[in-house]
Amino acid sequence: MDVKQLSIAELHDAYAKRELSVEAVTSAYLDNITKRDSSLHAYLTVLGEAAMAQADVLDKRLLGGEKPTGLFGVPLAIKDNMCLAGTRTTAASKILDPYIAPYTSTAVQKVSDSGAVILGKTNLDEFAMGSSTENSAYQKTANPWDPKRVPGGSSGGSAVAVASQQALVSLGSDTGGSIRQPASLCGVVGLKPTYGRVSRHGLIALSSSLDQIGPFARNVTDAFNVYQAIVGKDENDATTTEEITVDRDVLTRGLAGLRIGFLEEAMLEGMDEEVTARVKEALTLMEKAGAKIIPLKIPTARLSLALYYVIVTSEVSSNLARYDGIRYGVAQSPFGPSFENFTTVNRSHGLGAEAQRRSILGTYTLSKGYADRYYNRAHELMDVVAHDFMAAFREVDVIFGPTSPTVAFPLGEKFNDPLTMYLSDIFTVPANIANLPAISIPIGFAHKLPVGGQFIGPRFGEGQVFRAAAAYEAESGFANLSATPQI
Amino acid sequence: MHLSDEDIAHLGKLSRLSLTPDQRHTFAEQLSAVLDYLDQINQGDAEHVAAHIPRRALAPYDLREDIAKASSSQDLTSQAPHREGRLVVSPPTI
Repeated sequence: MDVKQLSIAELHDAYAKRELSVEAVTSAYLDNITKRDSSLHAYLTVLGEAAMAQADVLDKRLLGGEKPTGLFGVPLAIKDNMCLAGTRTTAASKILDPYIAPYTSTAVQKVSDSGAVILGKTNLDEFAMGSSTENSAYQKTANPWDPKRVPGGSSGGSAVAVASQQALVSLGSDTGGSIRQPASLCGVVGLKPTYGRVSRHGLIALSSSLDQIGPFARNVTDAFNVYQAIVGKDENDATTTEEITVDRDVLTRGLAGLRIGFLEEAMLEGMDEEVTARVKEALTLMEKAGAKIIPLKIPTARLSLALYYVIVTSEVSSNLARYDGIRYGVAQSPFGPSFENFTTVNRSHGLGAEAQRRSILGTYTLSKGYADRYYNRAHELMDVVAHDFMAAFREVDVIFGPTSPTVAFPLGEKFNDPLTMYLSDIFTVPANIANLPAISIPIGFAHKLPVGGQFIGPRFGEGQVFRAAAAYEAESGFANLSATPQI
Repeated sequence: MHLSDEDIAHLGKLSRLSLTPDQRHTFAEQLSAVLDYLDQINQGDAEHVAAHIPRRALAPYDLREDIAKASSSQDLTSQAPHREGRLVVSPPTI
C-alpha cells in the first residue's frame, strides 16, 4: 500500500486500527520529498527532524487510546509567508533571508493544535506577488505535470507539494488567486475562504484588504477538513468574524436543485478553446445531475483586475515599507553615511524586481493628488462590485466558471511582461474584490495538462461552495489526480 | 498615463529604492502600460455605477479594546541585524 494515496479519513481509519503509525506516514512523505523535490523545488525549508518528533508524540497519543480526529497525523506543508516560531520564514525574499520567526501564526497554530505534522515551508513568489512562483528570490518551482512549465502562483510550492505527494495537504494564501490559480494549473483543489474567515495574524502581509489563508488538497473532503481546522475569530486579527459552522453534510447533498450561475463575462475572446470546452462540459454534466444553470451578467466584475492592482500595489508600498534593515532582515554593515542611505541600500539589495515595481507603482497611486483617483476610487468601486455579486446571489446559489484562461504556461513565457502575467488572474480576482469564498477543483485536461473550474459563493457561503465542489467531484470522478509528467 | 524615467527616479527615491538607469527605463515602460490598464477605473460606466452605492456600506469591522500585554524585549529585538544588548542600533537619523 502506498500510504501517500490515502485521504485524511483513510489515514485516520488506519491509525485507529493500528495498521499505520504517524511515524511511518511522515517518513513516507519525507522520503518522497528527498526523491522528488530536487527537481520540483516546492520546498524552501524541510523540517524533517521536527516532523518526526511530532509524529512520535502523536503515536504515543494513539497508544494512549486517542481517537484520531481533525488533522491528527496529517502531513502538511505551509507557505513560507506564514510564521512558525523558531523557523526561517522568508516570504521567498532575500530581504528576509536571515529571519527566524519569533512567534507562530494563528492558522499554523490551529493546524498544529489539530494534530497536523508540519513537513516544511514552501516556495512562493516573493511576498506572494506573482502568478507563476518565478518571482521567488531562491528557486523556480516546476509543475509536476510538465517540469518545463510553471505551477502557477503565488502559492506554487504549496500546490506542487500536494500535487506531487510531497504533502497530503498544505496551506497557501490568496490575495487575487494565489491559491486557486496554482491549484488549477497543478490539478488539485484550492480554496480561498471569505475574507474574515481565517486569521491572518502571523501571515506576512501583501495586501491587507484582500489577503486570506486557505487549504490545498487532492480532493474536496480533505480541503474541507483543513478549512474546518483553520477558521474562527482571532483577537489578533480584527477582520475575523465569529465562527459559522459549516455542516459536513454539505459534502453529500448532491447537485439536484442547485442553482448555478454562469457568468457570460467568463468566456473571453482569445481564451484557450480547450479550456472553454472543459468548462462547458462541466456545466452539461452538472445540469444532467439536476443542477439548474442560469446565465448571469455582472458587468462591473470586469473592473476587478484593475481594482485589484490599484489596491495591491498601494498596500504593497505601505506594507513593504517596514523592510528597512533596522528591525529585521538583511542590512549593510557598517551603516554608511545616513539613515536614508542605509535603508535605501538594504531595500535595493533585498527586494526583487516585482516587489520594487509594485512598491514604486503603489507610491504613485497613494501620492498626493493621485490617491483619490486610484486607491480611494478603487475602494469605492470594490463596494460596487461586491454589491453586484450580492445581487446575483439572490438568483443563484453558486457561480461557476474557469479558474484560469489557460493551462500551465512555459517557464519564462510571461516573466518580463507584467501586464500579461497579471491577466492570468482575470477570473480569480473578482472573489477577492467582492470578499467571496471560491474554490478551484480539477475539471479535466487540455493539452495533457490539468484544467480547473471555479465555484464562487456568497459571502460566508462556504457551505454552498463545498456542496457544489464535492457534488461535481463525485459526478466527474476528477479527484486525487496523480501528477506525473504527461509529455 | 505616461511615466518618464525621471518620474520613476523620483518615485524610487520616495520608496527608498536606488535604481540604475536601465531599471528606471524598464520600469517606466512597464508601469506606463500597467497604469493605462488601471485607468479603466476612471472611465465610462465605472463613473456611473459608483454614484449609486453607499460607500463603506459592506465591511465595518468591530475593533476590540486595546489591552496591554507583557512581551519580551528579547523577542522583539532578536531579529534586528544591528543590536547592542537589548537595544536596536540604527544609523543617525538627524
